[in-house]
Amino acid sequence: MTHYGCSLLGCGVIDERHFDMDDYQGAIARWCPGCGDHSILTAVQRLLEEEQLKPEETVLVSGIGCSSRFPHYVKTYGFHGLHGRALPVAIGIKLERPELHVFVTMGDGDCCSIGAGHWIHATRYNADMVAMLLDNNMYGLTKGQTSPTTPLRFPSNTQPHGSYLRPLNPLTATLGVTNASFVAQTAEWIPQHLFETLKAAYHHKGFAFIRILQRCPVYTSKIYEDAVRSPDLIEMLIHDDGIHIPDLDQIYKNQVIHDPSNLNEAYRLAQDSDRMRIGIFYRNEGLPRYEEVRRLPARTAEERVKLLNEELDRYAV
Amino acid sequence: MPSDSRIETALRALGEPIERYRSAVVTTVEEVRGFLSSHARQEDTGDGTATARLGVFAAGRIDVERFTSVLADEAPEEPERLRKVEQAYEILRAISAGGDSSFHVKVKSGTRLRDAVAARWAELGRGFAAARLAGLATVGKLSANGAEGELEPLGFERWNPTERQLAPPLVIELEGADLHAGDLAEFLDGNVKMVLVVNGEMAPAPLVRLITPSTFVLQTAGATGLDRFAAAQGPAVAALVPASAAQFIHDPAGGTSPGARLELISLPAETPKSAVGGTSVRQQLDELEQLKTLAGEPRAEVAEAEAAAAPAAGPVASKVDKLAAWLLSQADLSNVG
Amino acid sequence: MATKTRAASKKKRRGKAAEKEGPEVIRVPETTVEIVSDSGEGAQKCGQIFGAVCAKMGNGAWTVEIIPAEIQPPARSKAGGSGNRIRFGTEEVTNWGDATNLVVAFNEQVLLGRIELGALAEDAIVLLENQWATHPDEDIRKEWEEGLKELSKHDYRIIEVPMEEECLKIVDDTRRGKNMFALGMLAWIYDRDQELIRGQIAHQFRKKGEDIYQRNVELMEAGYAWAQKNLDFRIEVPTVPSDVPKVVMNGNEAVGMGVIAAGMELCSMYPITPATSASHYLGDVFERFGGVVHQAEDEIAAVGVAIGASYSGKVACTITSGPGLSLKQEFLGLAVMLEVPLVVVDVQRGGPSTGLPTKAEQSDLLTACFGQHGDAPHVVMAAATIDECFHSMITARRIAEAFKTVVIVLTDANLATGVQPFVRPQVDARWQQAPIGLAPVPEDKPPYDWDPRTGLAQRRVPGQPGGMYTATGLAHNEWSKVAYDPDSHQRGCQMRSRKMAVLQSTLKPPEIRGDDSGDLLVVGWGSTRGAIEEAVDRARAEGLSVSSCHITFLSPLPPGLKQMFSRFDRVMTVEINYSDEPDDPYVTEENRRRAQLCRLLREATLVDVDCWSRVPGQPLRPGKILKAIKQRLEMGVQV
Repeated sequence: MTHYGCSLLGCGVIDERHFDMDDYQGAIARWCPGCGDHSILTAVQRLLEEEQLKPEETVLVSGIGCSSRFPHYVKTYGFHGLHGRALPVAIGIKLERPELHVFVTMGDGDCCSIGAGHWIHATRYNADMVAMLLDNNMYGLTKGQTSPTTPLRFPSNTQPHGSYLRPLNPLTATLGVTNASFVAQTAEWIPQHLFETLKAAYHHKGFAFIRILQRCPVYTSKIYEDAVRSPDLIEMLIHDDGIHIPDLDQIYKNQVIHDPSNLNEAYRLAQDSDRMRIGIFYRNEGLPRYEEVRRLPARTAEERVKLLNEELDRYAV
Repeated sequence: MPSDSRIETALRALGEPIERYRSAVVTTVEEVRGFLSSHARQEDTGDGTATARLGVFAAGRIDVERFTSVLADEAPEEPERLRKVEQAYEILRAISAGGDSSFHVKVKSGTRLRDAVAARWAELGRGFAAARLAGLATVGKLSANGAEGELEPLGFERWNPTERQLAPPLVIELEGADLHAGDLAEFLDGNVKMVLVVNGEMAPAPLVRLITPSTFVLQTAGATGLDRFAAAQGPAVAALVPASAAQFIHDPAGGTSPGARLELISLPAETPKSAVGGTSVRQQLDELEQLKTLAGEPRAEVAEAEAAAAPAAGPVASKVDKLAAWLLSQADLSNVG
Repeated sequence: MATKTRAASKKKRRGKAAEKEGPEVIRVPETTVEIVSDSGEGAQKCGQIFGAVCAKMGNGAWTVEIIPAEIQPPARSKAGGSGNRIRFGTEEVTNWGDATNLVVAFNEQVLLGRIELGALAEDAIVLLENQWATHPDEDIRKEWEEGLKELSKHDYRIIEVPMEEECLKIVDDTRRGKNMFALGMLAWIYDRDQELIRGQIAHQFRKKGEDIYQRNVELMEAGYAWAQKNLDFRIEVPTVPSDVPKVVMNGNEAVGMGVIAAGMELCSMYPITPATSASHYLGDVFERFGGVVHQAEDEIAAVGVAIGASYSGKVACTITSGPGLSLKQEFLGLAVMLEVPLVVVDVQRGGPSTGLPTKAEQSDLLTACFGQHGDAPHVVMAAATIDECFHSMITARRIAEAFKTVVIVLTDANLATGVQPFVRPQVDARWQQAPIGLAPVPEDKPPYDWDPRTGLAQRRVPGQPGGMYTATGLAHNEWSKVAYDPDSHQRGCQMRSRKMAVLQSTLKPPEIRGDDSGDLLVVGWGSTRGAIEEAVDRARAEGLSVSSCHITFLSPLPPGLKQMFSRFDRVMTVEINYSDEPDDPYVTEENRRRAQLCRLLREATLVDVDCWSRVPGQPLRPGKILKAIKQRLEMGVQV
């Protein structure tokens, strides 16, 4: 672990497998009809296919919540763990097996509430993985409770008269953490943008945090309804080093040229505004990655025995 | 610089590739050890392996025989196959225990560079052969008497693409007179890394002959460019040369045109006047001329060619977008080189 | 002559000294020495060197740190005493003993603090720094006078020593140096080999340069010379040089080294007393072995990272203490559910809540066994000695891997900071786990391919082609598919539980110390072993019919306990956790809250096991255990 993670054992076998979308198909997704998670699932599977990631070398890690059922629906290795605790598990996997492709799916309760501590520190560790925040502004699986990202005064079962607090902004929160290296926002109802954002995140060397605005047809259908209907409410961050999908230019006319290397500007654009901004806010590949920082020479058992005997010499009487 | 300190410089430059290779070998050694310990028949080992694995703490507390019998360990491997894997293990172990000297080749004066390099890689390639055999065993495809049991040296020409990616790097110490760069061309593949430490008189720019679009090529009298050499993706060759030789960096990451990739640091003060080893004055002059030509390609033409070749940004991209793309590509290129 | 013997009863000795016939030599089979100072005056270092030298000379030894609860407690305060307590003897020493026979104190307040804790024997010899008598601060002079008055109520032999004055002849700052002077005095009193001491000083100060080493040696020699000139007694504890190579270290270092020896490569932790020093040790050396100490953002993340690593490869570990264990419980349940191997070390401290962070207790047993919600069968075992802190790691790692489950190893603050020489481990490469092979898996082989008889299945890790599955904390079937149907959950629980029965079937019954039948069997677990066995040996020497047995595997418990218990009239556990006394107000047979192992044994054997337990924030003393044994025997037959 924390070595280069490569072994010679597989060398002799030339892997000529080609993977189709179907090869990444796990169990049939059982989210509600109209749930935004379906679209995200498709985008992830499309990415796996396009990048030809070996299913056995890909691990999807999740917490608990609607979105955390994700790994069950993708035929790779999966870890469906505890509420809020996907990130520590993912970091453990990356430390032990840096060669694996790690994707994390979290919900807004998962990431921004119970797991908020891990979110901050995972950002700081900057281990190489894609972290998706599937943000529907509500606890869905437990049937409609206010989450940290629920809009002010939006009613829920726990706060039926409307939420009392201004919502937490996951973008500025992440951008404010030391070592934040990739922060993007996209929306599941713009599949092309979602896909391109995922792809950029996958290629980013470091902790790639994507907030995916996601519709919940049952509890928060109203929140994103306007933005889905009127593209005027969306603002695209475009740049050669960011994401620019000319196909979408005709529909999403509000565009801002934003250089993702500009952190101050990223922070400004990430503030709450009337428009939903999507695109890459910040990217910096020059930041240290945890699994690299901690990388060590591998040792054989024999070498360890020798070293341990030297160590015991120090304590000998 | 005395050659010893240059060898150190060279080994330092290869630090990461050496570590990567060594790490792969060590990981393999440990995996094969695991295979052997879980596939050995208890009655065959007879050395108390099961007891040892449980540790001293288990003595008097755990019935080792019962413990072993309830475990769902793999079925024992046939002795003949196991013996082969053991041989492979020993080969890998020996390679993992080799120090930096494993990666250091000295070309005997007057002998072929190619032969020295090929021989060392064939010897290290024995590790790949061993790993292939052990790999087959772990997936249950090793036949007891098949030819894949051969644990002979495995020449570079027989390494597959994965193995070439994990190729052990080499520091090659040689006389300038023996530096026939063409000898190395066949090895420049995968993620091969070589540093030549050149002693004595040498031709000014022999490595120019190795420049291809995806090969990193460096001649340096100090340490300039070694950091980029170490970070290069793909095949890379560097020569630590006397100050009298040409110094240049050819970095495939620089761009698509030779001019963008090639950075000329210095040219020799004097033109070649006599043959070095088997390399005639004419050959030397030709190499220098080639270097200058590659480095001096006019940039404007390239920019235009690039712009023309730039793919349309998308099926419905507007003309403005096209123009912007062209402008941006122009701007980018003028910054390079 | 600076020596003044204050206690009136010591006339005889004073007389002897006056005659200058050479010192009286008192020969004892074992003795206990304490050195206590304000924090930062180096008493701990002095004690460590003295303990190591005793071990090297062939004495058995057990060293315990005296630790104040605060980092920088006020000077000259009763609660601020810092130092070391070294019990050493001709034979092996397995516990910290009863009371201190000789103490070197740097001021009277820390000494009084120790006396309040009952640390000193009534006839103890006290070597006491006397600079305070002439201290410029009047308050301090007053405290000194009052302190001496207090001391005179006891029967101690008090020898005032001008340590400050003597040390000032060599160094300017006595805060760094008095400890070496004290070491020199002890060296003369106990006739310790000065060459060995110099060697240990060199070892302790090896990073600080030749000058520091020289000055420390000078101070030590000055202390030796002073004692030789001024003391009229020496104490001889015969040594038996051992021909078996030994090492000396504390329990946390032993745990750290055991982690390495077991081939683990990731220790994921969050700082918590008294567990952290194991990670300090690992942090210092682990990387050389290719291992990482991951300091996580919190206790929960620490275990999460370890589980992530274990899920995808080699067994990882996490080291914590009580409060940390509580925080990790949800994740431990997940590891059990997912059948991910994991080693957890709990260095127990006093609880509940923040409790006694630096003090030893054995009160995490039940939470270690049952702290997870739902049914989460896993393994709990305890190390009884420092030697076992090392070796238990190897066995724990192996069991975790073989049974794909969580193994919690319990140690405690007593072991963590105690130092004891033990037989040098013969390191074996086979202790180390090899990486899991990444061989392809047939697609028709389920990830939980439970053997219906044993509940065991092969491990599967990412990288194995064809083996893709999603590990889930939801109830699942053998394919790791979420399954809410009644049969699947019953089956899953059954398979995980069965592994414990299978492990139990491979365990051997614990051995009995003493006769295998009699009036009383004392049962213990963890670090109390040495003290219990010493107490039982003393009781047997007095002709009492008492035996003892020590339990290593707490869950599952070893076989044969019921049968063993049935051969004794009475069975009693001795533990460092809270239990009601049978005669406490309102306490009845029915509502009596018993000690933790006692509860486990009663449930497992249906024998009416009794208990005697205390939570003094200290290890138990053999003398007190002996008293409890006698008291219980007087109560007569119960079973």
